[in-house]
Amino acid sequence: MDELAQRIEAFIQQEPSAGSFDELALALFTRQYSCVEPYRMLCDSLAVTPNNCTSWTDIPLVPAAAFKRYTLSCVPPSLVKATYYSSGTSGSETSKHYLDADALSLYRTSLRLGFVSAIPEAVGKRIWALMPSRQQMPNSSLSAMLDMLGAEHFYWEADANLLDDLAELTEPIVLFGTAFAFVQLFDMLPEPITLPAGSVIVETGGFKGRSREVLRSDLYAWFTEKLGADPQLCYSEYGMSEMASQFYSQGTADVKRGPHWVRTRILDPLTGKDAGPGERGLLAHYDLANFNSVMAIQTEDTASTISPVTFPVSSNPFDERDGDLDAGQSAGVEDGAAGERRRFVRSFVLLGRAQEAELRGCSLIVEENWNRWRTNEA
Amino acid sequence: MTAATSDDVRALAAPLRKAHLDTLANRSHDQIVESLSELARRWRLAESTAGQRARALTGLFGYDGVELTLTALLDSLTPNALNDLIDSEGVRGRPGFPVIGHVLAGNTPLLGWTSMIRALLGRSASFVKLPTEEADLGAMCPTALTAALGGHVLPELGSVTAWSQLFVDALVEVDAPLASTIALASWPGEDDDRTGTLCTLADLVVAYGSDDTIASLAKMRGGLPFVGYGHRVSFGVVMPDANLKDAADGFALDTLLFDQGGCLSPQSIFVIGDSGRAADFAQVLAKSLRARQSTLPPPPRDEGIAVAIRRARALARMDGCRLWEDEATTWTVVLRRTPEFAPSPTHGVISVQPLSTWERLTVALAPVEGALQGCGLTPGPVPAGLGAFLSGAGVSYVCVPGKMQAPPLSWREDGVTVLSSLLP
Repeated sequence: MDELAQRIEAFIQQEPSAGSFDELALALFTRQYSCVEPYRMLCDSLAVTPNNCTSWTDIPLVPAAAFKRYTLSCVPPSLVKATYYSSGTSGSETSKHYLDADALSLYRTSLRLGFVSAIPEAVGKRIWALMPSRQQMPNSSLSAMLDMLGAEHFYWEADANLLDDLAELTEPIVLFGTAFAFVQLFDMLPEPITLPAGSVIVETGGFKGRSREVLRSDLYAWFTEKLGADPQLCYSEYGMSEMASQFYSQGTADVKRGPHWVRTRILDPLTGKDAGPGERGLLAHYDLANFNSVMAIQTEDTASTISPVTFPVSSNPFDERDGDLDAGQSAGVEDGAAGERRRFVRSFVLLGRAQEAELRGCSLIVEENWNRWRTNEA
Repeated sequence: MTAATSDDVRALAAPLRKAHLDTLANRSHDQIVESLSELARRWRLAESTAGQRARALTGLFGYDGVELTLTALLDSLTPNALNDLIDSEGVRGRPGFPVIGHVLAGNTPLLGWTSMIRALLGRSASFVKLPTEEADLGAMCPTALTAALGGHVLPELGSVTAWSQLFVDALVEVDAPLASTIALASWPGEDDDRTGTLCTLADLVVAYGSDDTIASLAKMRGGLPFVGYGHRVSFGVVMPDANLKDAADGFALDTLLFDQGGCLSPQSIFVIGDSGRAADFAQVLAKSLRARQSTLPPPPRDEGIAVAIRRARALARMDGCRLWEDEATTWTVVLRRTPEFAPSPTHGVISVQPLSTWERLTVALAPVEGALQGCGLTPGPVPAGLGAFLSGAGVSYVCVPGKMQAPPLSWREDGVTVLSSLLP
């Protein structure tokens, strides 16, 4: 494994010798600047190079749309071990995220540690996935995620076995699916069931652009009413195929929180500067686990900071030595190269896609295929 | 003004047939020309109340931003110009369709003016569907507002709706019966019932909008008379002997007016010469944009527009382009190395591209073949063959920089005749 990848992995695993986020981010920037040509062009145009970049906040952000247009990879195609595509509307371009062996290893580490630290109740429980399996959809990052997490079953295309299997459950499970897939499940349920106590629900994907949208509050009410789930054991995952790390929220609070190896800023699209506390802006992520592509990504997802802090205070001691961000804090500040104070967040409220921006979301795959299946059945 | 139901559409359309019979069917072209030229004269001399109200319009389609286009249009409304147009198209004395349905887009402010004037010259009554995004504004009638406020003129946001209403009001001032042949209405564009009703009621439908909108309306018409104007793009050419500063000043205006949202707004400017000349022009253009920006109303910027602009900027940098931009998102100059026409997200994002010779335009414009509209061409001798090439490429409007948003009424958009296309 590459030496830098080893250090990042150590950082993810909270080994004290790993170094700081800033050191690793700048080292990763140097690597990606030197080997990803379109990214280097962006940086050169902005006059930001490894020679003058002194803080992670100065690392140029690549727009998520760039993953559609360019091959953002540090290695030649022969060394790419996995490629994850974004979901998209029919005929639209999809993002492609290329992972070499080191990136895939970091992806796996990031995914597993992020999952268990965000959802400790999931540890040791069987995982059932409401989505296509990796065999059915090999380029779906969501399917790959669940495969890496060791999902036992993948239920897809209105699999009638799901209802039977749920009815026979005796031990608590983790039921992980897209929001739309859960709605389809509720439509199939002849009557409410009660999952074994301690079962965990994880939904992802949202409804943007779907033919049917359900309020988040309704969805979470149905988790309890129709599946007997404990509201505190219902989680929401937010991720993107262009990133190797994920964010989670617990219950209906919908405050997403990322792991310590990801820094996030919320930028006002009108000014390009940090949005103020509680203000709406675009999420920009700096993900150390994005080893082979570009670590700094400007998304078109909007969010706002939270105030006051509503996320449970973390018991993770690593948070306390993570820059000047104290345990449980939702936001922090750091000096930029020019001495200006820059705000970053660890928790945010996701507000959806920027208006007029292209649609995205894993639910799309689900609905498109579900509708195709229904059409074929008819 | 707001048509809430299909019955409202029918009720608004019903008087138009009678108005056509009473006012237009037996009126000579001379009489119509007289009224329209009088409207223009009064407006120019600030005798028109509607014209005075127009000066209070603010925003992107406020008076300052629209004046250039309006002046060109008013210049087209002299008796001589109108009679020339009527005669050149051979429509004098010919009967028009009783009622034309107009479906307007919201990207340029005076679309309603040109469409209604053309209908009047075709001796047809007009049912005008105003742009969807202005449906709320449509309920607000400037005349009623002004009257209610005892003649006090309130600053009002300029819009296709506001300008269309001002045209009708100005026409009332000179020829109320002629104005009675026009009905303005608004409803959401996606409302198939009301739009379908309009398509059923009108004898001819003239529509402006996206290609999808045009296709949808054509389908609704089901083979009945229909004239549709869909998505088109425009470009500029800086010839070898051009003065770069003059060209940049003109193209800066062409780019900034209407936030580059018109089909005549340039998206790419081709500089004939080497890459160094193109770079020089890009730099001068940036300077002109910065200077011109301060004289025009600031364009509206929301989250979605800002995202699109910032995305375009970053992707252009990744393409290896050189950029000039303002700190906000009002304008962006992208110096590209590639010759192919570069589509813009609009909102002031303009590409500058070097071309070794004008003949290379055939390659440069190939990606937008069939979608070309206007060309801003620097003044000077036009090489033999360039005019024919532009015409053959479907370019229907060629002008000097600075006049791209000022087409005359006689402009044959998409090559379609101005008046005869509106007659049976």
